[in-house]
Formats: sequence, C-alpha cells, structure tokens
Amino acid sequence: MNTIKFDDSKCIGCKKCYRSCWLDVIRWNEEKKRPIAAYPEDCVECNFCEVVCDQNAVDVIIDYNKPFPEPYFAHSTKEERGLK
Amino acid sequence: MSRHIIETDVLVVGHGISGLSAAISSKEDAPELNVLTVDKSFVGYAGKANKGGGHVSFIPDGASEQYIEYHTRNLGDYLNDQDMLRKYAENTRKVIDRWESWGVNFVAKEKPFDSHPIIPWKVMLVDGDVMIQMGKHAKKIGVKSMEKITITDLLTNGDRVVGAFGMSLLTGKTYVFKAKSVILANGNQDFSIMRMWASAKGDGIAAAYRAGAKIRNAEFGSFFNIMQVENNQVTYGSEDCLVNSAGENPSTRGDLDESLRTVVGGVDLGSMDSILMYMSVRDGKGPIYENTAENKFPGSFPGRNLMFLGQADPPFARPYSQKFWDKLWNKNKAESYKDDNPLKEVIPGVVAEQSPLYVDHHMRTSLEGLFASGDICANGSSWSGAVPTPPGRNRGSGLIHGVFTGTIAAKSATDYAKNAEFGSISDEQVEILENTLKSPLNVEEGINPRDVIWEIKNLMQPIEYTGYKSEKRLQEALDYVLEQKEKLNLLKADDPHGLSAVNECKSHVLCAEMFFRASLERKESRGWHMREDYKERDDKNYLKWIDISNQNGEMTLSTENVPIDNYKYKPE
Repeated sequence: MNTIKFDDSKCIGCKKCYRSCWLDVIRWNEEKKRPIAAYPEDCVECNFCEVVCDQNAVDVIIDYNKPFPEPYFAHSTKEERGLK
Repeated sequence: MSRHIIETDVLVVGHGISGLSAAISSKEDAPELNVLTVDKSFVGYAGKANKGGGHVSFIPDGASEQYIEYHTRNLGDYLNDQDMLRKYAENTRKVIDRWESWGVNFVAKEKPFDSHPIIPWKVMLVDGDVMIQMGKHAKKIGVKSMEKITITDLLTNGDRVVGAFGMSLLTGKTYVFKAKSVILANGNQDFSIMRMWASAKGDGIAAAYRAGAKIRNAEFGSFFNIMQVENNQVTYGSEDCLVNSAGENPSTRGDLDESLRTVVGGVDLGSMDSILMYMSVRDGKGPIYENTAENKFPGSFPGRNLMFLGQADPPFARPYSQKFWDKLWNKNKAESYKDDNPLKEVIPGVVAEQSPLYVDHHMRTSLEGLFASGDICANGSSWSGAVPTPPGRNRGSGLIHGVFTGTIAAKSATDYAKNAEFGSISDEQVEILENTLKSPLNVEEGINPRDVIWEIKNLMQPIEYTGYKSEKRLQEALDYVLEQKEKLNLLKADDPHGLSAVNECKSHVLCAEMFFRASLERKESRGWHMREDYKERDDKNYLKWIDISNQNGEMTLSTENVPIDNYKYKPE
C-alpha cells in the first residue's frame, strides 16, 4: 500500500491536502491542526495532496508492487480467482 | 435514532463537473429555489474532471450532421438515439458559452486543436482548477454544498423520488434529504481497477436501481486503456509502438475475421486493440511491450500540449495541470522502472466506464422527480450508442457531456420543483435504510468489503470476460458475481469510512451483475460488445436496447426496439 508522509514542521495547517483527497484517505486532526493518513489502503496515488501543498510538506510514496488482476484470461478455478 | 433532516427544493447528488453544472444551471434557471449539492468529496476536488487531460471537444457550427452520421455508423453502431445525439451535436457551442460565463478559462478557444482525423471535431482545453473555478461560482450565486457525505439510497413515495438518504463519513451521523426533485450526478462505475480512474464507484447507479429506476445499455462498460505494468498508469501513444515476442505490433495484427472487422470500425474503437493484444498473448506471443524509444507521442505537439508529456507551448500552458501530471509522470519514471530497457511491458487496463442509468431527452429517469446527468447516464441516454463513455477513443467528450447534460437536467428538475410539493418521507423506509447501512458495524467475524471488490476486479479486468465475450465465460463470470452477492450480508465495517466502503462494494457487485446479465442477453457483436461466439452484428434481432429493472428484488431484463425507421441513418 502507498505511504503518505506529512512533515508537521513544514505544515501550516491550511487543510489543502485534506480537502483535495477525494477518497477520504486523509483526515484532519482538529486538535493538532495537522493531517492524518487515515486510510492509506484506499490511496490511488493521484498525488493531489502533494501537488496542492505550497509548503512541500506532503510526500506520497507509491507502492509499485500492489496486486493487479490477471489482465487477459478468465480464471477457470476458484483457486485461480482467489489469487491475490 | 437521531438523524439530521435537510430540506431543499433541488438536491444534486455529486458535485463533480456535471453536478456543479446542474446546480449552477438550476440556480440560474430558478434563483428562488434552494439548490443543494452533496458529495463524499470537497467542492473543487470531486469527480473526474480535474484528473484527466482537460479536453473539451465540440462540434463546430454547420458540422452536426457530418458528426452524427459518422458517430452513428462508426462508433455507436446504430444503437444511438439519433435524436439525442443531434441535440448534443447542435448544442456543444452554446454549452461552452454558458460554461464560460461561470468563470471558467478556456485555452485554445480561438484556435482549437483538431481532435479527429476524419470528422471536423475540435478540442480546446481547461486547466485542472476548473472545478475550483466552478465551485466558487456556484457558491457566489447561492448554491449550497455539503461535503464528506455519502448518499447511499433514494427515498421514494410510490413511484416518486422524494429525497435521499446519506451518512457523514466523518461522524457516521445519518441524513434525510427531503427534496422536490433530485438530480443524480455522482458518476458511473469504474470497478476500482485502474488507479486514478477509480473514482467512480457506481453508488448512484445502484441507488437508482434499488429505487426502481430503469437501467439501459449496461453491457457496454468495458472501456480500456493501454497501461504500463510497472506503474499501472496509462501510456499514451503506446499503441503505435507495441511489440510482442514475435516482433509484431499486435494492435495492427489482422487475424480477426472480416465480419468482426466490419463491426469494430476504424480509428475510434479501441476495443479491437484489447482483443488483438489478448490474442497475441493467447497465441504464445506475449508479453507485449511498448518500445518507449519508438513512442513519438511524448514531446510531440499534441503530446506536450494536450497530455503534458513535455512542457506545453506558452499559448497552451495550463500550470495547474502541468504540475499535477509532471508529478505523476516523473514519479513513474524515476521510481517504477526496474531497468533502463526501453521495452516496457504493457497490458490493456480496464477503465470500464459503465454508465447505464436510463434517461430520456430531458434527462428524466423512469422515476418521477428523479433526474440524472453526466457519466452516470451517458450510456443510459443512448446518445453514444454501443460504446462506453467517453465514446471509444474520441477523447474530450466527457467534460462537455457532463456540462451539457447538467444544464438539461437542471431545466427539467427546476421546472418540476417549481410545481411540486415536498413528498412525504416514510419513517419506516428510513429506519430500514439506516439499519441496513449500519449493520456491518455489528458483524465481528465478517468479510472486508475490499476483498469482495478484489474478486469483482478479477472478473471485470480479464479481456476474456469483459472484452471478448462468450456464453460460457459470461455465465461463469455471472455465477461468480452471484457468489459474491451472497457475501454482502457478511461484510464488516469498523467506522463510517468502512460503512461507505461496504456500500461501494454492493455497488460494484450490482453493476457487475448488470454487465454480465446484459452481455449474455446480447447475442451478437456490436460496437464495444464483442462476442467470440456471435461475431457478427445482428440487426434483425438485436437492433434494440437491453433494459434492466428491479422487480421485487429480482434483476429483470427486457428490450426495446431502436426506432430505426424514424432515424436518418440506417444500417447499410
């Protein structure tokens, strides 16, 4: 899964990363006024949070080994279908 | 249970580009009405419009008939509603003028690009902050928006839609939205396969189906792009430089029989490429590579100015999107490539774009008080015919279609709301929906909805199931979908985000069932629906639309003949 790192020392609490995350991966800690990577398993590396951060405080580290379904062939057995 | 009750004249579900277009148009058409948009995401970032190329295709004045004939014969394969297609073709210029009045900046408006090699189809551009511009305008004119709320179901009173039911992703608090009219504009179904194009989860399609709305053309949700295996991203221009282990470019390899060739047409229909890639691998000539050293698209005039593959020329600069795409392309190159070999393995990645909610020419669904616009109903309106949205390889129709249909849906929904009273909401219905929504919180040893979505991805991606179909394989896939359906009562969730994931999972399963049932019904090849066992187009038996409806919980199929005698362009 992807990792989303926030540099709290650079962050100014503008919430842009939180607002830009359209998959609800990033949540906002109102007490600390800082973002949280709450559901990184749902991140699709659009990198919007990183792009909109004027402070360069966000780093989306993409996992390039995430599973992808078999592209061509129908699976004839349940075992094949269940492979991840 | 305590829940919020919100009242609005017009409720727009989804504030992506079509939802915002509908909301703005509604407020413009009837300033006295309350207009509210609701979405899981924030205004300015919802939907797909800011995650693509920002292409705005349009049909120049005087070119409509040429476009309609070409589209009907070569893309829609005569399954088009030609009257709706004409309405679209004749209005794209006017739509752009109205859209521009909402504070949107267009690039290349004075000198648009040619977007098609045969027909006079033009394209201009918007930057990636288009949704922010539209969001500001919507707010300025009085459109209200609620964010971080998922709408899971519609509320009905008999055959009329009287509102919607939703939940806050942040607090889990549930909401009852009472509305005189509802516009569904929350996107189509992409089955979460491709990464960034996974935003559409089919929640609106599923909610409409459950409420009793008619579904049409569900079998055409198999749009694909060629993607690099190392990073799972689309690789533009690759079809011109593919090479298999036999040294052939399988995208131009010609071992399909002639009857199939006449069905799939020429430059537009990319479904052919996915099948040719599949055949190449099946015949032992895989894997297939993109020879990146031979890909001339990056850095070319269209490559750098349309797809950010290089720095755009100053007149075409779009700084917001350039930053976005530079980030993605640069990361992919720097981090995903395992070696310097210019040969990069590619596969056809299924984007799907299933968009089957039926609407008429006024964007009215089959349910009173319910309207729709944008991707959710692009195939359901039948304007594009036998091709998923965006239509085949003709890029740039998604945005303009979203805005165009948003303005029509708005007119219909405001006209309805002006003359309607609020319908009464059934407490019992709300109670059932709330219990259903929240029940996964009480499941301890249940199933993670992501595991079921993974199973659905494994049915929707293989080209043998969704690109090159056969009775046996479709039935096998449908049977497996129905097995997944049995698991839906066992799904578990820990919090509101998880409950939304459960709802999305149900939408995936439902849409997959629609796809395979409709695909089984269409025993011919037409447009993007390609059958290995029925290779020819069969106008005698299948020049008709396949409809799906929910009859007391049973998914029921029926057909309606395409009124081809009333249309100008007929099969030759």
